[in-house]
Amino acid sequence: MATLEHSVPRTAGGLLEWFTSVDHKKIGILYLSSALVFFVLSGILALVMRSELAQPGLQLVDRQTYAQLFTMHGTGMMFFFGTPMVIGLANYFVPLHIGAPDVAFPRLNAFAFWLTLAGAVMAFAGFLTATGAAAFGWTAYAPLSGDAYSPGTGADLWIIGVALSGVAGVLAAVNLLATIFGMRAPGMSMLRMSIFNWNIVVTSILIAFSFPALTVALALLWADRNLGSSFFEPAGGGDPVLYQHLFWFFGHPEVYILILPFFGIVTEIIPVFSRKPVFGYKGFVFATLLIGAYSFSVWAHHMFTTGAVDGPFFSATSMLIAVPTGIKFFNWIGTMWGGKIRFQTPMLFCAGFLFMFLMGGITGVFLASPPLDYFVHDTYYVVAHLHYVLFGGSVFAMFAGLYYWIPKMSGRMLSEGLGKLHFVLLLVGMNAAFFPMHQLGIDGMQRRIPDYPASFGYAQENLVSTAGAFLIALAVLVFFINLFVSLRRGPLAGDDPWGGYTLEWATTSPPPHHNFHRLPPIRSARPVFDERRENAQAGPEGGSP
Amino acid sequence: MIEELRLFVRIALYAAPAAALYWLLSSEVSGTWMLSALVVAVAMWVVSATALSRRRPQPSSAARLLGFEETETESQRSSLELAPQVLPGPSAWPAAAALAAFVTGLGAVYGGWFAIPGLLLGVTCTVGWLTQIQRR
Repeated sequence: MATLEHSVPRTAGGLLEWFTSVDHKKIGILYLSSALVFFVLSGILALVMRSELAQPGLQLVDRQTYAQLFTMHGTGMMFFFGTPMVIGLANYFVPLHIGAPDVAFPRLNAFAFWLTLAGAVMAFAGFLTATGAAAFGWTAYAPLSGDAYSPGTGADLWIIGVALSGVAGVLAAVNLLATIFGMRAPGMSMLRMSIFNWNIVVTSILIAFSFPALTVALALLWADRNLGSSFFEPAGGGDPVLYQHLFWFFGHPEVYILILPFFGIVTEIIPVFSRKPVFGYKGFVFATLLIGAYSFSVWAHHMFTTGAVDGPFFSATSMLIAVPTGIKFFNWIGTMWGGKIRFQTPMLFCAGFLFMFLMGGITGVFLASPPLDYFVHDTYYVVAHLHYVLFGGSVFAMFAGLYYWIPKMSGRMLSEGLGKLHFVLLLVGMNAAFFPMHQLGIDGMQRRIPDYPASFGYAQENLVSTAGAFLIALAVLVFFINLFVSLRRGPLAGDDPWGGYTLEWATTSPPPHHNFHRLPPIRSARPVFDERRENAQAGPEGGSP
Repeated sequence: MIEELRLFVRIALYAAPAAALYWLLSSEVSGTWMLSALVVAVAMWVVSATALSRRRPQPSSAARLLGFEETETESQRSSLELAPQVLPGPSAWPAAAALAAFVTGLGAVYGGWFAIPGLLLGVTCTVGWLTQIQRR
């Protein structure tokens, strides 16, 4: 048995500890907490939008305020909830999965978190300015985002805030790559890493190579607004389509940044709750790499209607992504096939993920076809597709991961009853909120508008969608009640409440500062399972020490 | 060749022909530049990974470039002693440095005067951070 020895550093106490800690677990919890705060904030903005759309006519907000709402909803969810949630989970569990005591650059890790938070606060501070927050959509297309059409400091705060969080993302990604490449425990070869870690590797590569394009786009946009340059201003010889190229070269990999780690989480949970090894480990790795590589060559499928991009190229590469994604689906089904499945809360959310993400994936293949994309571009069909991928996919898998890992992080189990109630409410709410949007899009309802004529026949679907949104809010409330109650009075989790396979289950719940008192031998991708089996075969008197 | 290196080589092997094909099909400049930049960036990582791999037991042939096999190493053994490590202690400099970036960022919005305290704080943080690392 390998033995680890670490000197535990002196720590500051109380609240100060959270400001000064460089422990990857605490930084991870800070990331997760701030991500959940922005999830709730951005969700509240969505509820106001859905309330406005519940019936024809302007009831709650004017057009400009509505534009601020959808801009900051998208910004909050993409930049300050989704990406930090991914990095937070990676922060906490990557070192545990590879048997490392911390990340490669702990102080840089803390800096990346605080920089992300600074960026988020700055972007949302636009609501406190006289002209309000940014109102040009989370994509900030030029020339709409130029100073002629979007005057005021809210837009500049948005640009600088998002740029800061982008830089923080690159720092975090480099840190994670250095950790995985350089700090794996003896025996933990690349092909014995958890699939979650493989997804974090590819996600980190995507962040490292795509976020700089966003930073460049935002820097040029800031220069256009404040220094009088004309990178994206046609009047000055600039090209607004160039902004779209730069933005989507970041933006499409960003979608995979927001989904690949959640693929990884689902791939960790399904085998444990099916009591089987993962089916097709190398297939998963290969598919993840392919998705990562393809994601860099599909950016302009968001730009078909500009007429300035090569439709067949981007259509073909976009459809190709369905192949590795399909491999993953077959492997998930293969993993469950013949297993003794336990439908506890994490597994329920995984099942929900499979159905919801499949819906989003299939509508994505439709959108990869230029003729169909021209028909539904900028309609609610696209909104439905996006939310089935990122809400039905990422958020369901996120909750699966939280129910699976919070016992490890806190030492206490979450309530199964409340967890199942949360799942049912979220499943019904999600489908009620987003399924009618497919029909609204096909019927021609444009997104990013606060009102629609009663004669267009959109009212019924919008009302159902709004009811679904409030059901989602109720589901999230149940989750927070569960979290609040269980962290105080929940049953103790023990070290390995699920019968897990990977290294985080070989240590205490919550793990000590240096993560492991002892490390089991690592001879496969399931070291904890291997040790458990060896102990069982050896019997009560012959178990390994 | 270590798996980390192959990882980046595979991305380059996809991105390079994708860039060429994209240019041939579309003659579109910005996208071709971005894909080419991706190839260059990946190549830089390959160089880094190669440097990293030289510190490890050297292995295999170019034929295994796309493979997923790994060499059997001492990692297979069940009992390995790991050297003791010292974990870094708490530090206020990362949070302070982020605050410096925040204030400097406000300077980009509200004018240069805001940036001055941010830059000063940034310099202080850099010095404090480096000093702390050196001391430990």
